Amino acid sequence: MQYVLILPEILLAGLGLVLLGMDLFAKSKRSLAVAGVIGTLATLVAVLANFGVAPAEIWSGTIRVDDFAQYFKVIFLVILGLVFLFSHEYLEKRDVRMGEFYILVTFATLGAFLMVSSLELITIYLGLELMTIASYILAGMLRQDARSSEASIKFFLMGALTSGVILYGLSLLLGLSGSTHLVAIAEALATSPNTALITAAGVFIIAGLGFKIAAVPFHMWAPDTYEGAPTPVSAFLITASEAAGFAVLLRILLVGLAPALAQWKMVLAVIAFVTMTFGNVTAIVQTRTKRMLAYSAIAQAGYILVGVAVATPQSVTAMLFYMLAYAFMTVGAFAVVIMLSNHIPSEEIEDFKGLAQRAPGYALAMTLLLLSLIGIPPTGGFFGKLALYRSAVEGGMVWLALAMVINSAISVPYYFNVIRNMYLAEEAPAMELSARTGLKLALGIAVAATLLLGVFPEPLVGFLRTIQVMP
Amino acid sequence: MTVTDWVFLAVAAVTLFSAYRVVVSRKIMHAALWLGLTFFGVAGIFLLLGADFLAAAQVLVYVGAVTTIIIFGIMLSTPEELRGPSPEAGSDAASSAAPTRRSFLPLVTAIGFAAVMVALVNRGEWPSPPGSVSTDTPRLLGEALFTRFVIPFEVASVVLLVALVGAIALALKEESGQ
Amino acid sequence: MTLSLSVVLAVSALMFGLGVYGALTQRNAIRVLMCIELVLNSVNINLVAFSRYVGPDQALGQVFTVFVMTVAAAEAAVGLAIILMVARRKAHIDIDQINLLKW
Repeated sequence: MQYVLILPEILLAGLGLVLLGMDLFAKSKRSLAVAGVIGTLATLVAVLANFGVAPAEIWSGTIRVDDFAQYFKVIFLVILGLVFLFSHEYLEKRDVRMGEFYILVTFATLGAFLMVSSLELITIYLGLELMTIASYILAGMLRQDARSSEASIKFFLMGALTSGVILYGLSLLLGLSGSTHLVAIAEALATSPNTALITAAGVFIIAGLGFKIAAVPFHMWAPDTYEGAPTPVSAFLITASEAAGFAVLLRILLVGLAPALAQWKMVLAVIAFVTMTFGNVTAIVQTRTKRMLAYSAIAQAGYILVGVAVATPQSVTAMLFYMLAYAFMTVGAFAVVIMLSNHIPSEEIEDFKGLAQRAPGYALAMTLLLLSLIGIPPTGGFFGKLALYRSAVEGGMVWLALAMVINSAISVPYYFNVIRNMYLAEEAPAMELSARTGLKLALGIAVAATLLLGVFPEPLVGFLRTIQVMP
Repeated sequence: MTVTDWVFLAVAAVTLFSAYRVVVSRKIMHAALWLGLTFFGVAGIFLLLGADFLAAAQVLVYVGAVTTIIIFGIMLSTPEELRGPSPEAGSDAASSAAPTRRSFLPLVTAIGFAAVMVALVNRGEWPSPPGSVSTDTPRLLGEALFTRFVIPFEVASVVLLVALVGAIALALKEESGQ
Repeated sequence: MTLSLSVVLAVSALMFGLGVYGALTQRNAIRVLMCIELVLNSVNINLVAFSRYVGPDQALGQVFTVFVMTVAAAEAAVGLAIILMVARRKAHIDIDQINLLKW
């Protein structure tokens, strides 16, 4: 039984090792991507099979299997699968070591798995490090591009320091409670007289995780890293890595620090507000596609953080829904960016000029994904944001809901700028735009899912209501 | 105060002084050597706290491996810094113009932070120490690592694998033939 | 032994402060890495101190320390690989001069 419950992790680790072996012998690296997709699907089946089982703590409590973890694993696998599908041509054109890329992105996902499927700080820490160490390397894999090395070194130095800061907080928690298990920590903290020290531990942990999810004022590494990293890596970092950070934040705040939760809500609300406003305002002036998307990602992290700040069951449900929708729409948008940059390497927003004439299908798909990012129906982004607003109002943070609405309005110009370029710009350079099947498939899946989540959100929302963060 | 206390204070003083030198040394190579001494000092602190296995591991991993890696990194990447700051470099001129700032600010920051932490720690109440302190720490650690923490142990091995693959992928010079 | 917990925690807090200060102010990437190692060592002192003074489980803090050491070694290796890659391309690793990407 224990082995069935951690089968997803075993399969994913196995996939990483298989890819490592294949990299030695396979003549065509494309077979690695195919194997990756197959492995991802197999893992997905294993995760789905575990849905609905009674929450269980196995391996002496170092692994926890519950629907919260399974749901996040689905998000990670969706992203991993799409990355396997759409990366090949980009990697080939940019001369990235493909074998190592596929191996590292698989192990990074394994790290994210472990972060969400445990209440044990030691497992969470190791998962976090597995994911981030793999990410540092992935960010630097564009060998021709100095910006990629810089993305990597900034990410590494900030990330390693942040890990140290988080660890300092975790060590204080261990000292205060005598345990590294979040449930036991919560029990000990509830009766502990050391409130000031608990607050100090919380400061270290929240500041550290704030770095990982790129919340302002801890975001300074993010725009550079997201812009300089290879585009598939940026897509992975913005979606999977951030979702894992949010999952850990939820677990630590709502389980471990639950006795002290009230004092953090206002702090987190302010961080959420500053993050979304900063991201949106800065995104307006960007001219490069990836940098614009990087700031947009910061703004979106602010929206998701609203769910943490409100900290009610409704807001957590809304947040979980939004994170899946966000994964689809962001990875989809990155698929279009990758398609375009395979033909025009400059990656300026101007490159979208006349896309509607050259490739109407892609233009339509991109339009839809951008509408979802703004939060316009009938898309998953709209429904997710609506649920977040509603939960903020019901949770007594009306001003935060209002700030979200205003921020969505601020975000309209820069997203529309892309749409305007695609449809209205006159002279389009005559160029044959084509993409491999994998990328088309990935984009199709992303668009279909974004629409589906917008039109039929109810079944998923119904399921998400049953998910408990608390054990 | 017992003899152990005095020894602890002496070791802690050496450790902290060398940590301070890591931050303020002008030459990067000196900083690396001070870092090695800091690691030794931390191993001494571990020993005095009864963690003898960790003290040995600290010497092996940090003094042996990490310091060596860092010195390798210095020699491979910054030969000019081995000779100390060059007179024409603007940034170094700026820092020599404010030598006091350079050496006092880190001290002030660290002491300020430590004062806050000590105040918090002293105000709190701490759980009682473990009833029986085992002196057989290798056994203690081994049993915990291979029973209760076997999954984290496996994950740690994956972390090392990723670091290995990744470090090679990044640092390998590209072969011109391909 | 009369050595109190707060003395040990003070030592680690001093080291943490020095490390964070250095990591935020140094310009050379390798020196930043050294300061990060100071931070991790201060965490290890904390963990070992708690395992000595705070019950009920003596092994916990020490096990955590073992994992921190493992990860720190891996991180240092990856960090040096990244620094070497940057150095090979640009011949300096002053992080102020890494400015192709704007703030």
